[in-house]
Amino acid sequence: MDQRTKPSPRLAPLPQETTPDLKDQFELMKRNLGFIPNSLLIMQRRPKMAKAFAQMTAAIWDPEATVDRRLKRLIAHVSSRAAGCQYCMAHTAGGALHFGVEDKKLADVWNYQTSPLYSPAERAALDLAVAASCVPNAATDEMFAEMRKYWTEDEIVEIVGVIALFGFLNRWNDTMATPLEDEPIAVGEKFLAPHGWSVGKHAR
Amino acid sequence: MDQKTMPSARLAPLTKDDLPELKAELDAAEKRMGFIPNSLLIMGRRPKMVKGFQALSASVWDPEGKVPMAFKRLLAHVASRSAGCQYCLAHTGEGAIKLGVEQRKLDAVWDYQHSSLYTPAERSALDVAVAAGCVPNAVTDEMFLELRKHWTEEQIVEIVGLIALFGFLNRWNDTMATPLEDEPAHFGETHLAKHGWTIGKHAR
Repeated sequence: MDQRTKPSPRLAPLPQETTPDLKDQFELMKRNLGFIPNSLLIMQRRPKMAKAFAQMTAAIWDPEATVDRRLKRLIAHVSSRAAGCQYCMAHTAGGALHFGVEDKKLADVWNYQTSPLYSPAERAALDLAVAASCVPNAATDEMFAEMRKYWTEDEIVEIVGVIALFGFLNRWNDTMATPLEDEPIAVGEKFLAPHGWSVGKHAR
Repeated sequence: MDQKTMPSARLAPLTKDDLPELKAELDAAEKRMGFIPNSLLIMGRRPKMVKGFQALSASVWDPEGKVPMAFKRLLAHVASRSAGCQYCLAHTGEGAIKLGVEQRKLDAVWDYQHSSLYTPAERSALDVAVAAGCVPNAVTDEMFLELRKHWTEEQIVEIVGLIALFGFLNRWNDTMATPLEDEPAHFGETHLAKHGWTIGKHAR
């Protein structure tokens, strides 16, 4: 008898062998993340889309860019929280730790506006990320004036690019109810659950 | 005396001449849309991002896709309406007409659930687009069951990929308050204003 009571995924992740053409991208992800995200394993049904999406994310996380990639993971994290995507919250928290954000700084991201661990420049970017991820969009001219005090125009594009990339990912993963992988589940249970995070529909 | 009372753009669009390394991408956009969208001219400050975005966009609008192109504009349109992005509403409305959607069908998109101009297959996809554009995401397993009655898994990935692409664009354009270009602005005034559309912060 099938004891499983959970509903099946909306669209199952396919095995990585499904698209030999994506081997290079998958290997890169395994190196960077330790696993291939189910979001891409679902997307494989349109190989061109999966390939182009990998190119887009590589551009956003460009190692030659000037905004610190640790801050970019935190920007993605608060953005995903504002949009309510538990899958992306766990991934971005794991990514932040992976790139060297300290545990206590990650724990304080729920309190970045007053925590001494966050600089005024970081607060300006995180404020924009939260506002930009609400519906309706709550970004204001005043937030941009604040951004300009600390960031160049190029860096503002880089920061809003991260926020917008998670506009794609929050919608994709929350719509697909993408099953969360073991590693980010462990991060979520340890670091995010005390703040109200739960795996929800991504536990499949 | 400066008579301009509007605030300046949050981040001004650059010009094509500022971006010689993006000539191919900008020419392609101009060919497809009839003008170069300000969203890309703002993004030009990070050329790799423009290239990545254009690759992703091309894969989502792939002419070899299995979901009718004109219908995809309507999906993008209702997702943008859920998210409240007036810039994207004008672009997708105009795009739908250019690709051959009849004016009366576009007018009826505000009532697609009841309008006889929409098929059950179209309604099931539009339901997902509306729900996916909300925060928190309102897509349900039941909506996927309905989608599966009408669309293959490959088509579902194409549909959700399109909806997610507008997750990027809705956030990008609503955060940047991207100035709306003349052509879609005119289209919005003529065809969308009667349904409550206004140019708002995109009139700069």
